[in-house]
Amino acid sequence: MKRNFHRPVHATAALVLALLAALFVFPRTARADALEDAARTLAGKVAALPRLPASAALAWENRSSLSEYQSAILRRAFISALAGGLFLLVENAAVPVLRVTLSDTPAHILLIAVLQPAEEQDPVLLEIDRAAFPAGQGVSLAARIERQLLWRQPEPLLDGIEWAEGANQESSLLLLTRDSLLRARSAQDGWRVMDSAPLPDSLLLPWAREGEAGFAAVSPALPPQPKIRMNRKVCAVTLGEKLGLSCDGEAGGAKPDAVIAAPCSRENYRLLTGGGDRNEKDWIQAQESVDGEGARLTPRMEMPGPVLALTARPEGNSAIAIVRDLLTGDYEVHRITLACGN
Amino acid sequence: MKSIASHWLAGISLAALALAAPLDAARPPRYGGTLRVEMSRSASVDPRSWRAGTEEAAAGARLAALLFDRLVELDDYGRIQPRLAVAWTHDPAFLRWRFTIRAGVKFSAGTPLTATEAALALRPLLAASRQLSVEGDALVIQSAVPMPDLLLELAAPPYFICRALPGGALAGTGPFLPGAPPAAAGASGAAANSSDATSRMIFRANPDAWSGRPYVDAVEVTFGVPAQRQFYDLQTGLADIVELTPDLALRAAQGGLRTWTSAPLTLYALLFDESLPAAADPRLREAFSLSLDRASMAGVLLQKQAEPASTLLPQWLSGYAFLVALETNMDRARQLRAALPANFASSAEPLRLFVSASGDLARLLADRVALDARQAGLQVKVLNRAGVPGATFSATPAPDSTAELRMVTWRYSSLLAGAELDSLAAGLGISHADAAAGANSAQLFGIERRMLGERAAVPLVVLPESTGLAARVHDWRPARWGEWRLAEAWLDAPEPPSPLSGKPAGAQP
Repeated sequence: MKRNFHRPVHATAALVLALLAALFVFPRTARADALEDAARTLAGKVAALPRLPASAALAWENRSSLSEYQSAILRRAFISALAGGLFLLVENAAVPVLRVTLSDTPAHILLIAVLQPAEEQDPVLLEIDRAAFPAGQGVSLAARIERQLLWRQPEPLLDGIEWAEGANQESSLLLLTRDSLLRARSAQDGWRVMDSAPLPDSLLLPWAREGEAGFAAVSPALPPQPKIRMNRKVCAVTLGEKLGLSCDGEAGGAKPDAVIAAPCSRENYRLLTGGGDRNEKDWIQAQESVDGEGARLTPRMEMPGPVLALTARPEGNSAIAIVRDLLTGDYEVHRITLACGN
Repeated sequence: MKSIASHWLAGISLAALALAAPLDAARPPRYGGTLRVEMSRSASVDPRSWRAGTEEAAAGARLAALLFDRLVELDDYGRIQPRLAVAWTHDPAFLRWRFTIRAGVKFSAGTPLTATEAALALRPLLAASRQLSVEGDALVIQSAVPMPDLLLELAAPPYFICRALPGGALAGTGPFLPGAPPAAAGASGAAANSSDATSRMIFRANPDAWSGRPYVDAVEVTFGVPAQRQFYDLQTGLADIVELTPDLALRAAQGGLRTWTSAPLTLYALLFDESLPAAADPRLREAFSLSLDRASMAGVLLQKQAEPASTLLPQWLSGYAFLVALETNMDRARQLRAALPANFASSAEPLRLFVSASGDLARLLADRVALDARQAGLQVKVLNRAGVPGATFSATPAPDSTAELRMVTWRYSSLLAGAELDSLAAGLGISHADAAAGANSAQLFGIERRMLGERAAVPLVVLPESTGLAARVHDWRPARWGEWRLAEAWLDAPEPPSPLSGKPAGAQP
């Protein structure tokens, strides 16, 4: 019943970090518990309805800002809770329909159950305080893709990645061409190339094969280090004052999926492209990553040409898309982010 | 040899990149510039002067948010966030709340924010049944009735903390300061009020704001700019943020202009005057309601810029509006009309429909209501609101506007469905037996269903608010309930020559 929002004390930084880590490890469990409790309560209220038929068909609708994953948890828990009683959920068009709708208000999530036909039956409304959900995870507002053109050039680009460097985490843009690695930094009037490193002979491809070379998955070892994969080999990128490459003969792996986060959701989104012909315009779409449950898709973002590479920033807040503009033939570098609401 | 070639090619690439023009380069938010806002009507920033349910109050709240803060606010995720209160506690029965006031905050006049100042600011805004007292650095609010939703109540527009200065001006703790007005408007709360001429208010960035300096140097608000003019100014780069009427919102979207649309915020409804015998007949009310084609009003007349309304509260606020369906049933409407007394037509018809709401939209809807009613055999005469300047509705009909029906509008402002329903009922003069404030969703649904069943008020459509935005405005992150949050916005380039030094925004070309 008490909330306090005084500024955090620096001395407790380690404790805060540990708590943050715990938030990332445990949120799904905590969220699932809160959702399942709500579903069980709703099931109890439905089972207590007067004039309850022996069986009904379930129609489930999510009109709320809850994610499809959360909706799926609720649905599963609701069905499970009802299964223990005398009330039977069946798939039969001839029986009454139990329509459950998830809805919301600025402060509450509503679970509403209506038996149809409902001439003499009041709906069951269950109200859950959004604060009951772990902070920041209760809702997933509709996300959409936003893109920002950072650069374009006539020379071919194979891939790009944004990387935070050094003690002050200054952002760099690493761009992979057919024969070199470039490093650019944001300046007052745009991105400026700071330096470059030639690719070792062993990496060079005999001909241009867009999409077959790029940045590899970032090693979980600390400190994180960008890696490029090319010609079935992997080289680590050395940052710092001088850009360099360190190739020790490691075999190249598959290109990792580009997964980024939306500011309104703790769920991650996997970026998808149409993957069509290289002389057609492509699109980028984000799919909510929900471990096999129903997945919410963002609207498609049309791109000016084929998407040649898509690589997420290690922090997961944005990705870089390399696109060949079909009108100009230029290679473009777009930053892809997710935004919420309209 | 190959290595040399690689270096050479790398050099070419480097040169190509260095020569390429930087396009929309990624930049952090930029400080500076003047954000130019145009509004159609004047507004007062004094929350004590706002009348619930009016567009004027909504416009005033947007401006007041530049100057003042509330104790708490609601974020986009339904979470209460601290503002001028850093901590709060309540007793188990929700009868007593204690808010610890943020230390080190100063009003723009230089005096420190204290719990006493917060109490003085809230006293005229809260119901008399709420008792305010001070305990050290904390403000205490008590009531004989439980207040489980007090935080949400205080997060709504009117509950700003401001300090009255000698002379009637108001000092705040917000991200902006009232600047010297270029025209007749001030920050005293008696803002621009000329409806036939443009006037401006300037809000300067507050460098000492406890919440941080806003990105823009100033917000310049021009009042009294006609809708078409705002649209033109947005197109020609003379304005950064403008209000868009439904027809212009459609044109803007079709023309590729940047727009933002809120949740539905304004209700258009019909009110029956129960003191008149004809309007008191429940069969007439039901016939009327059944004759209305709300889907056509929203979809055709308003070109999908509105939503049909089946309830007094919108779905985003109540969460249950979708459960209620008010469908057109012309056959049933005709049957009910036929069942009215034989002398009904001679004594009561044509029914008078007085358009209390301002604007062309209300008149358009009234004409459509009359058309629908005629299909059911009900004759309706639409009366204009001539002679009622400045009022969008009145619970008590003016002497020259006696009518069986009134077309009214209600602009939602609360974040609590129950409080909003009570406020709406009081504002529009709709009687209801049960207080909705404090009711849970199930109880509220019952209360509203009973109100709808009596058909003293018949909802028609709900309209969102549309805003046109210049391309140079960044980080526009409004709340879906209409708050603009301009302190977060920034401009990516110096604005064109200031209208202040040349042609004023809103002036005729």
